[in-house]
Amino acid sequence: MSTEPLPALVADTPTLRRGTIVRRLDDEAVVWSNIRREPARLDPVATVMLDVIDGLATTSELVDDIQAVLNIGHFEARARLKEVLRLFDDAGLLASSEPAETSLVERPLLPEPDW
Amino acid sequence: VQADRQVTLEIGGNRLRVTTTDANSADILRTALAPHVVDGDALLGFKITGPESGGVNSDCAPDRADQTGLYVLIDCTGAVLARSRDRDAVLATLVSHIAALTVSHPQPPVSRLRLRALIASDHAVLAATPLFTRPPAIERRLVKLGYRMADVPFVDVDSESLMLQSFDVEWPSLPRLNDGLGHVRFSDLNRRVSHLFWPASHGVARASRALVCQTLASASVGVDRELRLSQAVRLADGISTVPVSPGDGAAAYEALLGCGG
Repeated sequence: MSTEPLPALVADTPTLRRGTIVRRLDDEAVVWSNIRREPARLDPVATVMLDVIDGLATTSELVDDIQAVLNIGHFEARARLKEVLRLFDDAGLLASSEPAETSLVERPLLPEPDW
Repeated sequence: VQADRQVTLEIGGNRLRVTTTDANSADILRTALAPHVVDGDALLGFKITGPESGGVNSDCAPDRADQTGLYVLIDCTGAVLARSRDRDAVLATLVSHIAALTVSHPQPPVSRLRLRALIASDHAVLAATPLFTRPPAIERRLVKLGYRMADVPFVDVDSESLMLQSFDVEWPSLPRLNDGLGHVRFSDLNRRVSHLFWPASHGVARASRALVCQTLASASVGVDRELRLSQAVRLADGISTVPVSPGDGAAAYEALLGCGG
């Protein structure tokens, strides 16, 4: 078993940020964090993880859950969790996610010049 | 740029600058946009390049267009909005874009979206960036297929009826500039939206509802995330989505063939 820790962005007990809007569409979801300017789309696995990450389960327990539900090996389960947590962090879904600089600013009438 | 070739405007509290190829074009704009013309400088909002100007450094190759004798209207992102040998046609597109900017934000169930709109006689097609933007739309090709580009920086769509809204702008000093080939101005947009062209990447052949919803919500304008997402879901459920590869120059035009009616 690997002893490599999960990325630093992952708390031992990852917790979802409050204030996120979630729309479930078929087996996927569109989520919109209050610290992001744009929404993100979650694939079916990440969508399931929205319910699994309850602020109580540790990362080790989450790996066990994924391993059991998807019937995959430990390393693959760790990789999946790492991937999902990174996706959640990019989407601003975790309590530990950093706010994007422009997240709370309304978009201007015209886009900012880039030339 | 010489002072007599640029115009500074204030619209909805935002200042922007327009540069043109000649003093006469700037005069036409000052007349057309008189209520919004102000003194001073501002960030560049739009630029017209012409046969005698140097073009800009963007991936839309306006320099090349200059060499072909075309007037080219470019926005501040470098996107080409119009190309024509007729300077007034390009000015008409510019005035239409700026007129739309004066329209106040719509009330629900109408959603404001930063999408390209292609207008046919009885329906409209929306296209997400970069489709019909990078590379720029080819007006003559659109006309052959029965479409014209809506000269607006965003579209207002009723998320229940899927009707594209014309902009009700009072513009008494709007000059009698004729629309250019393949262009339609803000006042003639009322069509039902039939399709959304969605930029498919990495061989994606089908857009899931979530992907379409994410695209529409991202393209929407407003401060209420809940509302933007709800309207995006309604639109995603009502409009047929056509995945189009942005890397295939012909794909978007071929896809239009199947959108009639």
